[in-house]
Amino acid sequence: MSEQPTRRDVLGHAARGAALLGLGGLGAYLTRKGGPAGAWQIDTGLCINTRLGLVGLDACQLCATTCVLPLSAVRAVNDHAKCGRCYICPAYFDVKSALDEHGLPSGKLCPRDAIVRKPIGDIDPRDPANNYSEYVIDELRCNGCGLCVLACKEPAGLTSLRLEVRYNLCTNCNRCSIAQACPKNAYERRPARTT
Amino acid sequence: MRSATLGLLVLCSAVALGARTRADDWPQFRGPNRDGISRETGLLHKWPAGGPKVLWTTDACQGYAAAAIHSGRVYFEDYDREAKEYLVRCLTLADGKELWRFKESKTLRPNHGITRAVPAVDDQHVFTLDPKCIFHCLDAKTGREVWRKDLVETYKTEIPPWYNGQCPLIEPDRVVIGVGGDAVLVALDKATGNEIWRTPNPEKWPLAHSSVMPATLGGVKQYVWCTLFGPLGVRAEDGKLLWHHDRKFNVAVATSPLPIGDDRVFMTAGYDAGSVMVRVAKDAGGEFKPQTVFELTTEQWNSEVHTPILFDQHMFAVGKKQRGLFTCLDLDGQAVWTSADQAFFGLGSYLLADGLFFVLEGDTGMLRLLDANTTAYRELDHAQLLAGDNVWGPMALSNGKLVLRDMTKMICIDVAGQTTSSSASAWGEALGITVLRAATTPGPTPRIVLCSAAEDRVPSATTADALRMGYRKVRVIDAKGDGPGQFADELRGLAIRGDELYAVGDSHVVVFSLEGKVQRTWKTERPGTAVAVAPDGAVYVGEEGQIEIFERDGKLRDTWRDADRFGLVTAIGFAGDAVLIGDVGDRCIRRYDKSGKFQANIGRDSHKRGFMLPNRHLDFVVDPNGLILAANPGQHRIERYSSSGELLGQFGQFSETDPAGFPGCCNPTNLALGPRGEIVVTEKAAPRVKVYTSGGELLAVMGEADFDPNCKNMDVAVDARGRVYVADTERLQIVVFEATTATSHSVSAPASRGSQP
Repeated sequence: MSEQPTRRDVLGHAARGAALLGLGGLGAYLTRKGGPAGAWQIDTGLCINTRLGLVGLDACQLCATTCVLPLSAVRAVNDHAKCGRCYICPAYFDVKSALDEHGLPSGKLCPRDAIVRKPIGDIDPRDPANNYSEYVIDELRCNGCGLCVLACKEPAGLTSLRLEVRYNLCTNCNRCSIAQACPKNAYERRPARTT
Repeated sequence: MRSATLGLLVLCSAVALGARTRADDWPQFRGPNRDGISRETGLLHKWPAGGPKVLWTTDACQGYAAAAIHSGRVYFEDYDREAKEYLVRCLTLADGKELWRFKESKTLRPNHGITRAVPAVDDQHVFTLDPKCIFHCLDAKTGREVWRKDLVETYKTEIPPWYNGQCPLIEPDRVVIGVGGDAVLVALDKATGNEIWRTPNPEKWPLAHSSVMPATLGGVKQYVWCTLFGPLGVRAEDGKLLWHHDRKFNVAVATSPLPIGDDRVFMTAGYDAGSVMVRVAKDAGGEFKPQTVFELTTEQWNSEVHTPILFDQHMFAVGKKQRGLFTCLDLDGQAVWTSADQAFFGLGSYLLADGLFFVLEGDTGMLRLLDANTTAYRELDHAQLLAGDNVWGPMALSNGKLVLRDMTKMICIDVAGQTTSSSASAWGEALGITVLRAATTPGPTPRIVLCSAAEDRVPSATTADALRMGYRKVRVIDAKGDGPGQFADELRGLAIRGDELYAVGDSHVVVFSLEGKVQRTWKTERPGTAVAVAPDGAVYVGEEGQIEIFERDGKLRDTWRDADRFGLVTAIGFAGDAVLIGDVGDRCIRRYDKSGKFQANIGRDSHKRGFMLPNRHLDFVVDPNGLILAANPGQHRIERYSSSGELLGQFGQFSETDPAGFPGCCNPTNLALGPRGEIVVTEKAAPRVKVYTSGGELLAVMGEADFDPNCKNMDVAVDARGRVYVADTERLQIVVFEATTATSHSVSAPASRGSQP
């Protein structure tokens, strides 16, 4: 015969649970408060994907593979003011893939299909290959692997793509695992905004 | 006796004239023989001080469309963006006077330039394939259109991305072009445009940017061309396709096949396509069978834009690796020598004449004159003739005159010394600057002394000889700590006025004496990222999204808030009544009036739409004449602007080895002006300080062991005695250097920032 919990037992369990939750929350708050100031960000001048003068390299992809989050907090960002809006973007297309009858690569570079391409501006039906195209990163898919960023490097590209840590996703670890792994020490802690 | 003297004079004249023994036209892409070589001789192997004389300059729409020269006339494609008109222009070679222009309404959009092809010209006609693939035949004397052929309508050609880049091949009786669509190549009668033959295109290979090259392979005269699906050859006689080497190229093929003899053809391209050498020989059945001799990966060698030049059984070209090394390759594809550690040419063009290579730096517009040899990179001279980046257009040479262009203009220079230059300033005038002096010693770095056109306002000491100096560290002002007058986390900006040193960081301003004693301090609303003292003594502190203006004692006078234009303020300066703000957010300098009313942006009109700032820091200084010197770290140079924003000149280039160059991703990061007009800059990774003359000659390097190695964006200021104050951003110290061998030149007018007595 099992004993029925008394009203006193139920209230006691609830009080202990609430106290534990409160302690946990306080601990998390203090951990955050006592942690280092600022947030992790990438120095594009050091990142292997954007540093000028280096060609023939592979994107290191460590931003995508070493973050403690299931989907890295790093994203590719396209600076539309710099983007050439090319019809054939080597950051969008896998330029080594087979060509279709128009000479357009049939494959895409992004393994997660995280770049959206659409024509913008006036469209000349006589000259479809010179319409401007806009390239937008789908941040729900992007994992910051950097393949597109490397492909956008000068001189053929305009370096409009770069990698950024998304602050709203980053857990701001004291010892960021990507920073530990980055071969170029491109991760740095930047001061937080005060506004 | 008299007749003997006359005979001697005639002989001397003949010898003198014989110094230039041969002149040549440049009637089409890559010259008369389509090989990038001019047969002219008698060219200068050493240029006069200041560089070759600029004979004329003409504005040109952004692009790479280069000149063809025939019978003393220059022909090139252009575009009028306001009127939306495609142009073919004809100028005199001697003085650049425009003789006629052909116009046609056409809407073209900039995308890595607008125009990119070179016309082909003979005595009667000018042939151009315009960006939208309409082939024009114009009367060479008047510019009147003789006939036209719309390739899209006639052959169902698909206009390639980035518009047409192909340059027609002119032959004695025909003109030959690749068309894609219904035909691979067509030969057209020059006078009528009627087809002589066409090569069927059952595979529907699309039109490429590559241009047709004549070649004799297997004893048969051919036209060779390359599409995205590989190089091919057709019989010149009837257009029959003789061979096709099935090899995929990527995105675009801008280069052309290079026949190198022995039935071999070399083809290189960009976008990871690498290079390939093909032997095209007949098999036992008399059929042409192309076979790969060797291939080169992109890591080994390739060229993205320009076709190599064959000379002395070697190939010469700018390779893509390491920012464009000019390379001598043997015919097995092995690099014999490169310009590594000496010069970097980006995607610049090159031309060979009289044993000389003329090679343009694609990122800077510097023209370098090289000895053509297969032993070593040997530079004979150099001159900063063009400005900006994307200087990719080919050059043309005729009658001792070299025609070249950047993204905004075309110029013609005298490379034969025919026109005696009374002033070395002619080419400088083309840039809007006055040339004071140019070093004559060959070297890999630009050693050109530039100043504003207002020569009389330039500080008196501007040359290395006058300013040669050493420096030693004399003091360290330790500002790290939590106490008053100290910085706990960040030290970002420095400025000097009179005998006071202003420093900002964290969320306060600290005023030191020049000896390092704290005089006073006050808080700022947000962390300070830049500081400057106005002529009236007001202290301007740059912050994220705003600028706070304080009285000398720290009392807040005003706050300018402009979230859009003050993304991150890292520099402030004063030019007359204008306040200049360096905004990293939009990568430009903002000009405001004294009341805080926005006036204009400076530095946003470049092809990059602003300064290149991978290091997220923009610094500049205003000289006593109101000219702005700004660091453009991503471009590895210092640029000089008028207060209205006109780019007047620049110096500096990337180099990991030459201390006069700027290494790494982005240097210099900060700069200040000294009392003698010297420019003091700081670099990061590894941190150090360098001093240049106003024209870019390196005077001193210091501090390589005096800073934390992780320092970056170290602000710098110079006092009236020339002492240099540098912020160590990691140790939160201010390191002071003093010149040890300063000259006796009198101190001239102070700079508006850095030295403000």
